[in-house]
Amino acid sequence: MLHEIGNTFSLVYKSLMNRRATAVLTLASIAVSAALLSVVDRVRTDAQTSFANTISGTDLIVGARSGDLNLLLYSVFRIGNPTNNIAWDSYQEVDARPEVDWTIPLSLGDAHKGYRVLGTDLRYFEHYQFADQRPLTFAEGGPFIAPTDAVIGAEVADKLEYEVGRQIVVSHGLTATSFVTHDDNPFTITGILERTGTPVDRTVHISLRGMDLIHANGGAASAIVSDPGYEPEAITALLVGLASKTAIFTLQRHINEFEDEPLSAVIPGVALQQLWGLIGVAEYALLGVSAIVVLAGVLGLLATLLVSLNERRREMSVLRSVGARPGHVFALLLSEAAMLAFFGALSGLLFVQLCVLAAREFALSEFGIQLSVGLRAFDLYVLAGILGIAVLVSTVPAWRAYRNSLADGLTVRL
Amino acid sequence: MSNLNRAIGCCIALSLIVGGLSFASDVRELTWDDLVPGGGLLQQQQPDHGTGGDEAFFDEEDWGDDSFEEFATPVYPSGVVDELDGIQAKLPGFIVPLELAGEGKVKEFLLVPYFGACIHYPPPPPNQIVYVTLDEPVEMESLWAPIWATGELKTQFRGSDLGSAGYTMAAHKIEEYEY
Repeated sequence: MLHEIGNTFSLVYKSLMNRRATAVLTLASIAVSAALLSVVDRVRTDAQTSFANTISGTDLIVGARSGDLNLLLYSVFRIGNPTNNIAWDSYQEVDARPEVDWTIPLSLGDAHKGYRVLGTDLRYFEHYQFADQRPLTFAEGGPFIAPTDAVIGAEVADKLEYEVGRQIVVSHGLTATSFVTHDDNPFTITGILERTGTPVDRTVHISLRGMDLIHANGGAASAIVSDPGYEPEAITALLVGLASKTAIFTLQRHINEFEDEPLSAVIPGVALQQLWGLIGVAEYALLGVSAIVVLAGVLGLLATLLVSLNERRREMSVLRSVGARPGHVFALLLSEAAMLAFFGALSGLLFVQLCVLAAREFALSEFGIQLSVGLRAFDLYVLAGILGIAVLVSTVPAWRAYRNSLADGLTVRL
Repeated sequence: MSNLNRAIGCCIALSLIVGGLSFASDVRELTWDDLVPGGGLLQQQQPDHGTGGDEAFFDEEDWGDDSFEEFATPVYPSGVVDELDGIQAKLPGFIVPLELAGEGKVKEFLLVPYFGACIHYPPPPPNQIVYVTLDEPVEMESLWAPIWATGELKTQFRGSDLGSAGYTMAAHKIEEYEY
């Protein structure tokens, strides 16, 4: 039995090698369709995981009045721009609420060579959590102390080859080529954070005092440095951790109905869920299209097999003459389809691995998406699915070959 | 001897089955009123989304301050029902996700009696919110789909403030709620 299967496969292989060009093209079309389906699902789930991992342990994000998504995107993902600042007094009022366990003030708007600069204070390093409540840790050095100290993320350190102790200049605005640079107040790097796989890696952190310093000049700047009780006038957003999760709605409502200025408070999980809902439609559309491409690939395989039947009638007759029964011919056609589908899908999936390895760094630095390498359960479904559909549709040409070989015998009229 | 063994085996099997059954029946199906000491909110009012006739909607008289105040601040008895501490409970509600695990899955959420703490209605008091944690992240359909959460309910106190007392649940089962 085993011997027979081995024989069949070597026969299929030799027969396919005889029709190399068509076989390779069919294989390629299956490979491309499998790769497309696999890559769409991989990017979809990896993007979701990356986004979900960016913020953890934070109960509310508070900012100027805007939409949930906008607030989430600019405060945590550094995507888009803040709508407005919030007054320091409002921040302190929220911070003093009895439900509040901790807060992290965030001040955005400046950049260093294309990387965002975030003004915050030491509570950031203490309370900010990502990916399943992991805290930030330092790879080197420690948090900022002086107003002109800075802590950089892992990617900033890698890409710009910065080390602790180096002096950097922060520019006003977001792009690398901003014309207004604050040359007079260089910052000194005091620490480099461990890699997190989140936007933190691409951020330069400075103190709130430092943030005001880069916008002040001359006398105002020295006042900021020397005044021990200095307080900023405004910040952009704040993250809030609650003592008890059940107080979340009460505080959210209090902030949304804040008397002194219009504020918004969002629950990060809810805003993220809204984001999925929004992009979910596009994701499923892409998945659907990819599935149809797979179907087209398999139909291509079917067409090739059917076309080849006529020109292979003599091949079948020769096989029959050396003792192959019609059943063998049927099995031969099925295994040919199975072989093409299996190796096509497999090479497609392996191709995806290569692509992911090649595009990994780019996806992380440009979109903040950490692509995973390695076969996943979904890839196995793709492989099994394509194999199954191919075997199923190839019963049509196999059945025809079976009929032909019964009728033709050795007397093929071509 | 082998008969005795078999008899013991049967007894163990039986007791396991009975144990399993009694475990299943130990799960108490709760309503949100059960979570309030005294069994229910005082002056419980359903939020009015303006489904009344147009006439009522535009009637200035109806928007008098008194009636609105009364509507906006129903009286909630605070505190928790102590006897619910540690029971296996099954409770229906809406999910407000707190911790997400990627792939559309949620790890921690707040279970609330009405969708996403509807803005037309005061936020639910602490004893009408259950903080649910899951061992294994589960997929959530959407924010608008109600679910059943089953697991061990615990009462929780923060300091001496009775008003902030609430419930937590270590859930092991999340099911879709069928109307």
